[in-house]
Amino acid sequence: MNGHGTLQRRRRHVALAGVTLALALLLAAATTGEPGSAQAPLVLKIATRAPFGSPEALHVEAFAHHIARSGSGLVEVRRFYDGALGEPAALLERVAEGTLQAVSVDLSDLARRSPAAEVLTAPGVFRDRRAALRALQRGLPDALGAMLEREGLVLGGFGRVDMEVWFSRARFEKPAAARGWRMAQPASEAERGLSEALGAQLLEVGLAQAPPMDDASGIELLSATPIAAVAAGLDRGASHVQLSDHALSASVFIYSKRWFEGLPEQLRKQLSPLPASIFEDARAAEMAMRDEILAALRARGVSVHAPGRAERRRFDRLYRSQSLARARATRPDGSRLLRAARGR
Amino acid sequence: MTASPIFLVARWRWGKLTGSAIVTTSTSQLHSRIEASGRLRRTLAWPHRGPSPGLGALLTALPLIAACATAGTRAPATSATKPTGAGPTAKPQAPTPATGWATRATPEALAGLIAEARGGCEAEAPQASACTELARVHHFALLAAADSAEVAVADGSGTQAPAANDHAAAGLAAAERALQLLAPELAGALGQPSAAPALPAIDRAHGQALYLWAVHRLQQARKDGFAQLSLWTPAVSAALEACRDSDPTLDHGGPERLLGMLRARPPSPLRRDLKASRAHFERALTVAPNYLITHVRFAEYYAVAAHEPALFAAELRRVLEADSGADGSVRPENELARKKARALLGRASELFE
Repeated sequence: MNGHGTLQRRRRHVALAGVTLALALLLAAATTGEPGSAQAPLVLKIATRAPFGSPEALHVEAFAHHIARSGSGLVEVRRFYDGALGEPAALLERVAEGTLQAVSVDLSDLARRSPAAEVLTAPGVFRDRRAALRALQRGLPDALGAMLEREGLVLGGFGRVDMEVWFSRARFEKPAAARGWRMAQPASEAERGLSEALGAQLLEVGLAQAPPMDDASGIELLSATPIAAVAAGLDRGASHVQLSDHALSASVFIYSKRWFEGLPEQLRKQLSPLPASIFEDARAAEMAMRDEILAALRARGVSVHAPGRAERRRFDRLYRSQSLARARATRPDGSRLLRAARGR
Repeated sequence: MTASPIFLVARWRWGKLTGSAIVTTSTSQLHSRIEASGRLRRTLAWPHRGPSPGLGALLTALPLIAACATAGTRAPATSATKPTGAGPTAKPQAPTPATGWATRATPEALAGLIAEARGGCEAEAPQASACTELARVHHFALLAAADSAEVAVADGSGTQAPAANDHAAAGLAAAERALQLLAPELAGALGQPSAAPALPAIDRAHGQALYLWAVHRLQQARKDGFAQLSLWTPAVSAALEACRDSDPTLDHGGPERLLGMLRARPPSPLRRDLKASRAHFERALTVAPNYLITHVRFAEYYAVAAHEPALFAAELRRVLEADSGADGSVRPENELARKKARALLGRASELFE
């Protein structure tokens, strides 16, 4: 009896070892087969139009660092900065087609392809940057991810997160002050709606071509993050900055769905959703840059002021109507995104 | 202060992108000799600010531009009878007094040149010419030192101030001093980063000092991070345009070359203008077609930004096939350009899809 039991146990051990070996082989095949292999790491090309060293690029570097650390050599991230692979619209098209694996683009660039995303950059959607960060980490990824998936895109996560402020030639403390002020041709419908609601006079050219504020026929008001405005020289001639933090300016990591679905499960989990913790240093650096820029503007004699409660209230109604208008214009996705942004 | 992993990776990546390993010989010797001589104060701790300085490769190139500046209008006596390697519009090179400039490639000579110029610049009655000379010698030294700085970052040991930072800071100080002595109004206009600097008319005689200021200022801003780079870019661009208008042959088309680099990779995508970048490079090459560094920059900045691999390879092969010693006055710079071209060609598959 004892001998028979021992034999059975041995048979069971052999069978178990066989099953384990088979599973191990299957797992190995799954992780090293298509599209990557142990010999040739899978290449993830990520493109952005941001310059190296910029806040967005710092987040791309953090992303690459995260993949290098957690991918165990499976993935080689190749980064292309400065628009070397093209402008955002073309990059997104390639990602959707599957000829490029990933991009880091501004939400406003994404909105040109997926108009509902523009709701997130509409004024007044987020009270401040902290509220935006909270929403970007909770409800929004699911809502935006579902929307992008229908377009052949997979949301990785949000990169840089900053808020736009007002640069103006004269003090800007109430919406009515902007009536008749010159603004550049809006780059988005959200911007257009806001400019029109302010009663601004729109130039025929965009920000890149518009005469600066120190030009007699130049722009008199613009909305931008302090970092973006100074990097582009748009602060030229500006005398006032209202730290309104009225609109979100953020970058998003997006993958090709076709490419993403061919990845091993483990790798997919590392890529989406991207843990917010990997961007902590980059986000701190971005805020340090913003402070540095604002300090330099003050030193230059620019009046930088944070709106008080009463001043903020004067703008809030205008902002709220704009965000609702964008959500209505792009429903159902837009409304869904607005609800997610507001934590509902 | 230690840099965060992201910044170290960013800097390392930048070094890889730009092929900063241009100078592989004598860098550490140079550094240690200068250190030992006690002639150079360490004015900056490195990395003294958090984020990686931005704008990618543009700024790594500044040391090379420094070399250009040093080689530009003051050639050694030995080459006075030769063409400069510049194009039809290039000025004939004036012989340099016995400063040993021709021997600048050796660390001993470079340390001596720094000491000599510094003596004149920091004297009780400082001479503007000595300060300009000091700025240009620091430029060449910076070129030599940049490599060791990048290596220190790549291997994670970049916690002590490399020589490159000393040279950038000292070179900027010398150029600022030269401008204060030559054109106080101009120096005042460039004292703070301005979005729209109003530069007074540039005297042709001040062109080299202003050019060296622009190159050193950009290098320093890059080292200080993306915010500083953004803040200083308008002033640097204005200075380069003024130099170009005053003397387009300065430094073998240096102002046009640097403007071409800035237009290809500005701090903001809104200001990227590849058409303008190409035109700047082409004008620089018209001024000095045989100055190999311009070909390298054209490939590295314009061709990469425009994603033109064929142009990239053609320009770099031209550099490798050229006779770098055809013009003895810029032989050291052309030799560096060849090394850089070889390194860049080796990374073509990394830079292009």
